[in-house]
Amino acid sequence: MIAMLQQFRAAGGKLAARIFVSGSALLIAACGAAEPALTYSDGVVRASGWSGPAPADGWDSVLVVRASDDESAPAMLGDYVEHGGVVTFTPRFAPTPGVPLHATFHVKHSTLEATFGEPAKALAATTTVAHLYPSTDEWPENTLKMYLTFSAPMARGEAYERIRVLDDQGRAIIEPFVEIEQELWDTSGTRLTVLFDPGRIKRGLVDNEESGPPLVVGRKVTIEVDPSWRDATGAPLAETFSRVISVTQAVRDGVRPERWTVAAPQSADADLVVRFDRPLDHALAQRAISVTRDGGRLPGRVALEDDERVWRFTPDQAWAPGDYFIAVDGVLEDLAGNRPGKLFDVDTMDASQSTEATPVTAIPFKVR
Amino acid sequence: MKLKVLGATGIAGVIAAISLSATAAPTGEAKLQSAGALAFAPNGVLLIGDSTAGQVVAVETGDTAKAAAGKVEVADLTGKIAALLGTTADQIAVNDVAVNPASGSVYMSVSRGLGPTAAPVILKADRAGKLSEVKVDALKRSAVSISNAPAADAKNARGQPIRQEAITDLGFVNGQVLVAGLSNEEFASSMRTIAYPFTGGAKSASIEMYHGAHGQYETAAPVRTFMTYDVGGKPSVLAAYTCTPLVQIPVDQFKAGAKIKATTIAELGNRNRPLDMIAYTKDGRDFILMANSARGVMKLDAAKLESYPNISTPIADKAGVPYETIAALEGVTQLDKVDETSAVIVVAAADKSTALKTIALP
Repeated sequence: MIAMLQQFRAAGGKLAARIFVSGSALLIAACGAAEPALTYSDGVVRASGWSGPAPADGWDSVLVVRASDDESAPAMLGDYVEHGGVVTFTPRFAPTPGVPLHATFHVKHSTLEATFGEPAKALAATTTVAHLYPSTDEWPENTLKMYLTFSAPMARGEAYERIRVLDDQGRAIIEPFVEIEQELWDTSGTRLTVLFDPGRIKRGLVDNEESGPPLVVGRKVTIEVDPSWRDATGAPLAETFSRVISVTQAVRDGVRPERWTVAAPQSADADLVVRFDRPLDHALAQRAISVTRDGGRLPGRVALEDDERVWRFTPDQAWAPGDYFIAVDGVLEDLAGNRPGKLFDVDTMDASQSTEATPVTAIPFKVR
Repeated sequence: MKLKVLGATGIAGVIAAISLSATAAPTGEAKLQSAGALAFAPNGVLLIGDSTAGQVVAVETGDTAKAAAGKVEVADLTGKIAALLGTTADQIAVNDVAVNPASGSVYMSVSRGLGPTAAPVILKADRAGKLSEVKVDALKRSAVSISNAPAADAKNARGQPIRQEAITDLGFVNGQVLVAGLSNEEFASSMRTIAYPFTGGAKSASIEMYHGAHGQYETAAPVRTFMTYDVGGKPSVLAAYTCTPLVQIPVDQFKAGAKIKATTIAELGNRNRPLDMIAYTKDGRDFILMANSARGVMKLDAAKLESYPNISTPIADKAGVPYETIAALEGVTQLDKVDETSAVIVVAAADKSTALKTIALP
């Protein structure tokens, strides 16, 4: 249901007509069919009653539509078309409900004014934080990143104002994250990647030495999400999100696929199940581990279980007997950003650490 | 030329290992899905970073005539943009501002809407403060994809890849578009160099950066922002990482197979995020002006940048290139150079209202 307030005023401010219209937009004939009129429907402003050639200064010199109560605001961008004495203005973007459209039509030595618009939509606070990764409640002191997922697409531009890390006294830790203005969202706007400030994690940097790491071993922190964070519709979150995390020893060891436990499928329709030696990065454990046979990637579904410690693969088609590999891409990271063969934070004084990430690690298994 | 930086913290030398060459494929009819970082190539070619589509779009604006003299001033910038686009100011984000050196006109990348489907809009401000749209779809343009993610990437329910690379900054030097990117999954960034015009099979060198702290610890270092600058007669990149001070790398070292030791030339003070940076000459002396999140606007003496020794020992606060802080400039979120005597800035007030202003270069 569209409700519209239309006001018609002749030049000089005399009120000619003021009509509430409910339902679909109607042509207002208050001034008579041959008289100039302004109407609005389907997001388009129509000014009728024009006669003669097109104005020398363009249609926007005779029909002005302003999407603001501020008279100094510029006119809306849009396209003008004239046909049979009716000038049609189609805004560049459909006006946001609740925004008033003030139309002014200079025609036949008079000025017609009208205000249109659709009522603002009520915003329903329904969106929630769906999950916070890492799923485990024990995060190493040098945890590099976390992912927040939401039940619906979120607004951009306010993430770092809305996520707080509280220490065990309930005090907000100052600037725990590296603030990337663009914000690291996925395409759907439902997953945000948040990086703990590497300057405070990496050893030897000023921020690390002066401010210390945001997470301190042996302490508890609370990750809290402020419900005033808007979703993509502009509505706030339905509720506050918070989770208490215990901070554990830093992990300074490359990801070690050789320590994983592989349970090869024992039947044609069984899953392949791999247990890691530590929780791995939620996104990369899904993307960077695959099953190959004869060099080709096997299509299938991946699920992570037990707080990203278990990787379960269900092939699209039943297993055929033979030799397979689990291929581990070198971009795989643990919670602290360590990769296979490569530490996040390399001590160059220790020659054994100065290695490149292993591009691909292949773990063989057999289906009988 | 501009710079957006973060993480003024520590330390020392930087090694950039150019590890791979990726093919940056030119795409056909470029359709913008988002508009973020902006930069200009010569002859009024506007480069737009489109992180959502994973591409850089080059638009031939045809805007090469010198703009009229005078200051560009737009009060209540986001309010005015909202009125132009039929919405409210809280739905508007000004993502970047760039001045076309060919004309002196001010361009802005804007998002209309809040979420992933926010519409990208490119606006131009004239000297009278009038805003108009640059209709990208109606202009000659080309694009190059920067997504080199494998086809088997995880996809969402709509078949879109979940992995994305945020384009953190763009630049242009010697016929090359420079693109700094940061992944939303692996802790990795890239600096791509892509020849312009974008041609079939254009090669882009993807450069992985490493940061050596105190000469002992070394980590991957995402490029936060950069600008191109002539250092000792050599086209160079002045870059800032997510966790490091200002470094410089000669552009001619950006080739496949090279190992680069970049030079840390300034410590910017910790808990500070440089936002934008421009270079200019005044009274025969070279300066860099840098807008920051926490430490106001800094004016750095850019004389003989090549002469600064690499800062390789722990620094308590700041060191290297000397600078003074311009106290009068507060709340600057965007900065770009108009000419050798003036710059445009976007200033945000405490109530989140914004203004586009022209300032005399200090």
